[in-house]
Amino acid sequence: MYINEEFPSNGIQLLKMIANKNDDKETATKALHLFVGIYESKIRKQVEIIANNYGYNETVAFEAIRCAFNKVWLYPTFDMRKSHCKDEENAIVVWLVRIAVSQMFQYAGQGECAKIKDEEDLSVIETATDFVESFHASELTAEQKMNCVLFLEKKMSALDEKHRIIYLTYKAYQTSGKRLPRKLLEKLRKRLGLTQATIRVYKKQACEALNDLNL
Amino acid sequence: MKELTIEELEVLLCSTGYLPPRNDEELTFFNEMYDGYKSRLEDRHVDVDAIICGSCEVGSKYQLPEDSQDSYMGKVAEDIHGKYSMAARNFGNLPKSVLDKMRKQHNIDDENED
Repeated sequence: MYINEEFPSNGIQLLKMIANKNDDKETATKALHLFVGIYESKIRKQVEIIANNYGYNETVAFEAIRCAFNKVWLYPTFDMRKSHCKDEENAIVVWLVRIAVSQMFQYAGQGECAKIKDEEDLSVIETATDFVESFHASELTAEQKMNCVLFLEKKMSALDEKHRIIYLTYKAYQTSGKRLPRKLLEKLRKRLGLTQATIRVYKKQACEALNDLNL
Repeated sequence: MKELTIEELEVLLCSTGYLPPRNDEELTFFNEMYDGYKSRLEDRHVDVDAIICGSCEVGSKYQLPEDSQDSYMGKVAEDIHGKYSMAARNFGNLPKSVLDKMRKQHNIDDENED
């Protein structure tokens, strides 16, 4: 599609144009093309790597990305005031990645995006507001960062895949100030072939291994 | 290294691709760590026209994916681990360009704080 060079490339402006699609569909259509063109490459790695850590392949990651942009078209609800980012571009990337991860948790097969209820939506962090008060990653030296990553990798490698998936699924919601929705818990049971009692035990074991006793 | 607090653990999980990032810091950390990672999705692009014409379906049912994840997953894990553990196993094995970039970023952070 031809995009005029004077068309804005600011994500917030593009989202406003998309939101105005009922009054000016042509402009909204151009805006979505441009928005996807800008942000698709910015969220690709994140979603692919997160998907892998939850036991999904890149096809699922791609579906999650596609569904995230589908949601942008249907419900362009981005609100800078609800973001924990100071930078607008980062805020949009974080918002999109979280929508994609919410979609990934609901993955239903190729070609279908999930209707995400509020409780299942990770794109708005509700209560986890003072999470980085004690630890600022940006203050670490490169070597310290690497040591942290090494240390975390070692701890995470102690978990087998099922323990890791269970722990991370619960943790994704907890760090957003939410409880794991019942529907997703059911999906987790089916996907991993485990009973709820076993999931509970695996979660406890994972938390003990990581010394994360508040989950 | 001393045991991580829960807050530190959460920041690292959100910074390294285990959980989605929550803020600028976590996003930047991730981008630094995976600077050299080549996505397997680079040649795949979202069909924007399909979204606009509404053929990108939104459904409420959910089920397990039909195809086996195992074969794909092993390959992706291998790709990620190959790239990532090269960096993680030994700091000295990081490519000079990555080290320079991280140091440069760190210096910029320092200057900004002054």
